[in-house]
Amino acid sequence: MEDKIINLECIHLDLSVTSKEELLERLSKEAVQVGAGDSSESILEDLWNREKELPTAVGKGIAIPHCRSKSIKSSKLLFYRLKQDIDWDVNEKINLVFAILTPDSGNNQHLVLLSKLSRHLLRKDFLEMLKNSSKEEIINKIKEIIGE
Amino acid sequence: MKKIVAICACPMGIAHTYMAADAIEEAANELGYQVKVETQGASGIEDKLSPKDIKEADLIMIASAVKISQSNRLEGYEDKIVKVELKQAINNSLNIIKEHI
Repeated sequence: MEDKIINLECIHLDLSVTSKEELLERLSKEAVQVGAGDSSESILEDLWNREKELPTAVGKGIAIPHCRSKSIKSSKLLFYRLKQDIDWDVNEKINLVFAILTPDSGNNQHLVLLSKLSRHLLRKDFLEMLKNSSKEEIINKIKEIIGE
Repeated sequence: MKKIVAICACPMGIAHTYMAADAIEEAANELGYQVKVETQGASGIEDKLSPKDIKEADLIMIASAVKISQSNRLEGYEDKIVKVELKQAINNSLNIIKEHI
Protein backbone atom coordinates (compact mmCIF):
# COMPACT_ATOMS: atom_id res chain seq x y z
CA MET A 1 0.00 0.00 0.00
CA GLU A 2 1.42 3.35 -1.01
CA ASP A 3 1.76 6.01 1.65
CA LYS A 4 0.70 9.49 0.72
CA ILE A 5 3.63 11.82 0.19
CA ILE A 6 1.97 14.62 2.05
CA ASN A 7 -0.96 15.03 4.35
CA LEU A 8 -2.21 17.56 6.88
CA GLU A 9 0.13 16.42 9.63
CA CYS A 10 3.10 17.30 7.44
CA ILE A 11 2.19 20.96 7.38
CA HIS A 12 2.99 23.33 10.22
CA LEU A 13 1.97 26.95 10.15
CA ASP A 14 3.11 29.78 12.42
CA LEU A 15 5.86 27.71 13.90
CA SER A 16 8.09 29.36 16.43
CA VAL A 17 11.72 28.28 16.19
CA THR A 18 14.79 30.41 16.66
CA SER A 19 17.46 28.62 14.66
CA LYS A 20 18.22 26.36 11.74
CA GLU A 21 19.50 23.74 14.17
CA GLU A 22 16.22 23.76 16.06
CA LEU A 23 14.23 23.48 12.87
CA LEU A 24 16.21 20.61 11.40
CA GLU A 25 16.06 18.72 14.65
CA ARG A 26 12.33 19.14 14.78
CA LEU A 27 12.07 18.19 11.13
CA SER A 28 13.96 14.94 11.65
CA LYS A 29 11.75 13.96 14.58
CA GLU A 30 8.56 14.76 12.73
CA ALA A 31 9.81 12.89 9.70
CA VAL A 32 9.79 9.76 11.84
CA GLN A 33 6.33 10.59 13.17
CA VAL A 34 4.86 10.86 9.68
CA GLY A 35 6.49 7.62 8.62
CA ALA A 36 9.40 8.80 6.48
CA GLY A 37 11.91 6.66 8.36
CA ASP A 38 12.81 5.01 11.64
CA SER A 39 15.73 6.97 12.99
CA SER A 40 15.54 10.70 13.51
CA GLU A 41 19.29 10.77 14.23
CA SER A 42 20.12 9.27 10.83
CA ILE A 43 17.73 11.58 9.07
CA LEU A 44 19.17 14.59 10.87
CA GLU A 45 22.69 13.53 9.93
CA ASP A 46 21.73 13.11 6.28
CA LEU A 47 20.04 16.51 6.24
CA TRP A 48 23.13 18.18 7.66
CA ASN A 49 25.38 16.40 5.19
CA ARG A 50 23.23 17.77 2.43
CA GLU A 51 23.40 21.28 3.87
CA LYS A 52 27.18 21.13 3.78
CA GLU A 53 27.22 20.10 0.13
CA LEU A 54 25.12 22.88 -1.32
CA PRO A 55 23.21 25.68 0.41
CA THR A 56 19.50 25.03 0.53
CA ALA A 57 18.31 28.60 0.93
CA VAL A 58 17.20 29.46 -2.59
CA GLY A 59 16.19 33.08 -2.21
CA LYS A 60 12.77 34.67 -1.56
CA GLY A 61 12.85 33.56 2.06
CA ILE A 62 12.51 29.89 1.34
CA ALA A 63 14.77 26.96 2.18
CA ILE A 64 14.55 23.45 0.79
CA PRO A 65 16.40 21.03 3.05
CA HIS A 66 16.22 17.63 1.46
CA CYS A 67 17.85 14.26 1.35
CA ARG A 68 17.78 11.16 -0.71
CA SER A 69 19.17 8.46 1.52
CA LYS A 70 18.96 5.07 3.12
CA SER A 71 17.51 6.57 6.28
CA ILE A 72 14.30 7.33 4.39
CA LYS A 73 11.98 4.42 3.72
CA SER A 74 8.95 6.32 2.40
CA SER A 75 8.94 9.63 0.45
CA LYS A 76 7.54 12.55 2.40
CA LEU A 77 7.13 16.27 1.98
CA LEU A 78 7.03 18.49 5.04
CA PHE A 79 6.26 22.18 5.05
CA TYR A 80 6.86 24.77 7.76
CA ARG A 81 5.74 28.37 7.78
CA LEU A 82 7.69 30.20 10.47
CA LYS A 83 6.42 32.91 12.77
CA GLN A 84 9.67 34.81 12.48
CA ASP A 85 12.65 34.82 10.15
CA ILE A 86 15.61 32.67 11.07
CA ASP A 87 19.14 32.64 9.73
CA TRP A 88 19.75 29.77 7.37
CA ASP A 89 22.85 30.04 5.22
CA VAL A 90 25.29 32.93 5.47
CA ASN A 91 23.33 36.17 5.03
CA GLU A 92 20.15 34.32 4.20
CA LYS A 93 17.03 34.75 6.27
CA ILE A 94 14.13 32.43 5.68
CA ASN A 95 10.59 31.93 6.91
CA LEU A 96 9.35 29.10 4.71
CA VAL A 97 10.82 25.61 4.80
CA PHE A 98 9.98 22.89 2.33
CA ALA A 99 11.57 19.56 3.12
CA ILE A 100 11.74 16.78 0.55
CA LEU A 101 12.74 13.35 1.83
CA THR A 102 13.14 10.41 -0.51
CA PRO A 103 14.64 6.92 -0.30
CA ASP A 104 17.89 6.06 -1.98
CA SER A 105 16.36 3.31 -4.07
CA GLY A 106 14.72 3.61 -7.49
CA ASN A 107 11.11 4.59 -6.96
CA ASN A 108 11.00 6.76 -10.03
CA GLN A 109 7.36 7.52 -9.58
CA HIS A 110 7.94 9.74 -6.58
CA LEU A 111 10.91 11.41 -8.14
CA VAL A 112 8.77 12.47 -11.07
CA LEU A 113 6.16 13.90 -8.70
CA LEU A 114 8.78 15.74 -6.72
CA SER A 115 10.43 17.20 -9.77
CA LYS A 116 7.02 18.55 -10.80
CA LEU A 117 6.67 20.18 -7.42
CA SER A 118 10.17 21.62 -7.46
CA ARG A 119 9.44 23.36 -10.72
CA HIS A 120 6.58 25.23 -9.05
CA LEU A 121 8.30 26.02 -5.84
CA LEU A 122 9.53 29.48 -6.65
CA ARG A 123 6.68 30.67 -8.79
CA LYS A 124 5.10 33.84 -7.46
CA ASP A 125 1.57 32.51 -7.12
CA PHE A 126 2.73 29.34 -5.41
CA LEU A 127 4.82 31.25 -2.89
CA GLU A 128 1.92 33.62 -2.20
CA MET A 129 -0.23 30.61 -1.54
CA LEU A 130 2.33 29.06 0.81
CA LYS A 131 2.59 32.32 2.72
CA ASN A 132 -1.10 32.97 3.12
CA SER A 133 -3.27 29.91 2.78
CA SER A 134 -4.68 27.43 5.22
CA LYS A 135 -3.36 23.89 5.63
CA GLU A 136 -6.17 22.45 3.55
CA GLU A 137 -5.62 24.89 0.71
CA ILE A 138 -1.91 24.15 0.70
CA ILE A 139 -2.42 20.40 0.62
CA ASN A 140 -4.95 20.66 -2.16
CA LYS A 141 -2.69 22.82 -4.27
CA ILE A 142 0.26 20.51 -3.81
CA LYS A 143 -1.80 17.45 -4.60
CA GLU A 144 -3.06 19.20 -7.70
CA ILE A 145 0.49 19.86 -8.85
CA ILE A 146 1.78 16.38 -8.24
CA GLY A 147 -1.39 14.82 -9.51
CA GLU A 148 -2.01 12.72 -6.46
CA MET B 1 14.39 34.44 -32.73
CA LYS B 2 17.15 33.98 -30.21
CA LYS B 3 17.54 30.52 -28.77
CA ILE B 4 18.70 29.64 -25.29
CA VAL B 5 19.58 26.17 -24.13
CA ALA B 6 20.64 25.08 -20.69
CA ILE B 7 21.69 22.09 -18.66
CA CYS B 8 20.85 21.91 -14.95
CA ALA B 9 22.33 19.42 -12.52
CA CYS B 10 22.59 19.27 -8.75
CA PRO B 11 23.92 16.68 -6.26
CA MET B 12 20.67 15.00 -5.32
CA GLY B 13 18.72 15.89 -8.39
CA ILE B 14 15.37 16.44 -6.76
CA ALA B 15 15.05 20.13 -6.10
CA HIS B 16 17.64 22.65 -7.26
CA THR B 17 17.86 21.11 -10.71
CA TYR B 18 14.19 21.64 -11.42
CA MET B 19 13.89 25.00 -9.74
CA ALA B 20 16.75 26.27 -11.87
CA ALA B 21 15.20 24.78 -15.01
CA ASP B 22 11.90 26.45 -14.30
CA ALA B 23 13.56 29.79 -13.60
CA ILE B 24 15.56 29.70 -16.81
CA GLU B 25 12.51 28.78 -18.86
CA GLU B 26 10.44 31.56 -17.32
CA ALA B 27 13.15 34.12 -17.89
CA ALA B 28 13.62 33.12 -21.52
CA ASN B 29 9.88 33.18 -22.13
CA GLU B 30 9.63 36.61 -20.59
CA LEU B 31 12.32 37.86 -22.95
CA GLY B 32 10.60 36.25 -25.90
CA TYR B 33 13.36 33.77 -26.64
CA GLN B 34 13.09 30.12 -27.56
CA VAL B 35 14.31 27.89 -24.78
CA LYS B 36 15.14 24.26 -24.07
CA VAL B 37 16.44 23.07 -20.76
CA GLU B 38 17.96 19.67 -20.13
CA THR B 39 17.72 18.43 -16.56
CA GLN B 40 20.12 15.90 -15.13
CA GLY B 41 18.16 14.91 -12.07
CA ALA B 42 17.59 11.85 -9.97
CA SER B 43 15.50 10.25 -12.71
CA GLY B 44 18.28 10.65 -15.24
CA ILE B 45 18.60 12.97 -18.22
CA GLU B 46 15.33 14.56 -19.35
CA ASP B 47 14.74 16.86 -22.34
CA LYS B 48 18.17 16.05 -23.62
CA LEU B 49 19.79 18.67 -25.80
CA SER B 50 20.48 17.38 -29.28
CA PRO B 51 23.60 18.34 -31.24
CA LYS B 52 21.30 20.57 -33.32
CA ASP B 53 19.97 22.32 -30.21
CA ILE B 54 23.51 23.05 -29.09
CA LYS B 55 24.68 24.17 -32.50
CA GLU B 56 21.76 26.54 -33.05
CA ALA B 57 21.76 28.07 -29.59
CA ASP B 58 22.76 31.67 -29.08
CA LEU B 59 23.51 31.00 -25.46
CA ILE B 60 24.25 27.83 -23.50
CA MET B 61 23.71 28.12 -19.75
CA ILE B 62 25.20 25.52 -17.49
CA ALA B 63 23.70 25.68 -14.01
CA SER B 64 25.27 22.95 -11.97
CA ALA B 65 26.98 21.99 -8.76
CA VAL B 66 28.24 18.68 -10.12
CA LYS B 67 30.00 17.49 -13.23
CA ILE B 68 27.69 17.50 -16.24
CA SER B 69 27.00 14.19 -17.95
CA GLN B 70 28.06 13.91 -21.56
CA SER B 71 29.78 17.27 -21.53
CA ASN B 72 31.73 16.36 -24.65
CA ARG B 73 28.67 17.54 -26.58
CA LEU B 74 29.66 21.07 -25.70
CA GLU B 75 33.15 20.91 -27.13
CA GLY B 76 33.77 23.62 -29.66
CA TYR B 77 31.01 25.88 -28.35
CA GLU B 78 32.85 27.34 -25.39
CA ASP B 79 32.32 30.88 -26.59
CA LYS B 80 28.56 30.54 -26.10
CA ILE B 81 28.73 28.86 -22.72
CA VAL B 82 27.95 30.61 -19.45
CA LYS B 83 28.46 28.71 -16.22
CA VAL B 84 26.43 29.76 -13.22
CA GLU B 85 25.70 28.50 -9.75
CA LEU B 86 22.29 26.90 -9.35
CA LYS B 87 21.25 29.60 -6.95
CA GLN B 88 22.13 32.31 -9.46
CA ALA B 89 20.08 30.54 -12.11
CA ILE B 90 17.20 30.25 -9.70
CA ASN B 91 17.23 33.91 -8.74
CA ASN B 92 18.84 35.83 -11.53
CA SER B 93 18.26 34.09 -14.85
CA LEU B 94 16.68 37.14 -16.44
CA ASN B 95 19.75 39.31 -15.92
CA ILE B 96 22.18 36.54 -16.72
CA ILE B 97 20.51 35.95 -20.07
CA LYS B 98 20.30 39.66 -20.87
CA GLU B 99 23.97 40.11 -20.06
CA HIS B 100 25.24 37.30 -22.21
CA ILE B 101 23.01 37.00 -25.19
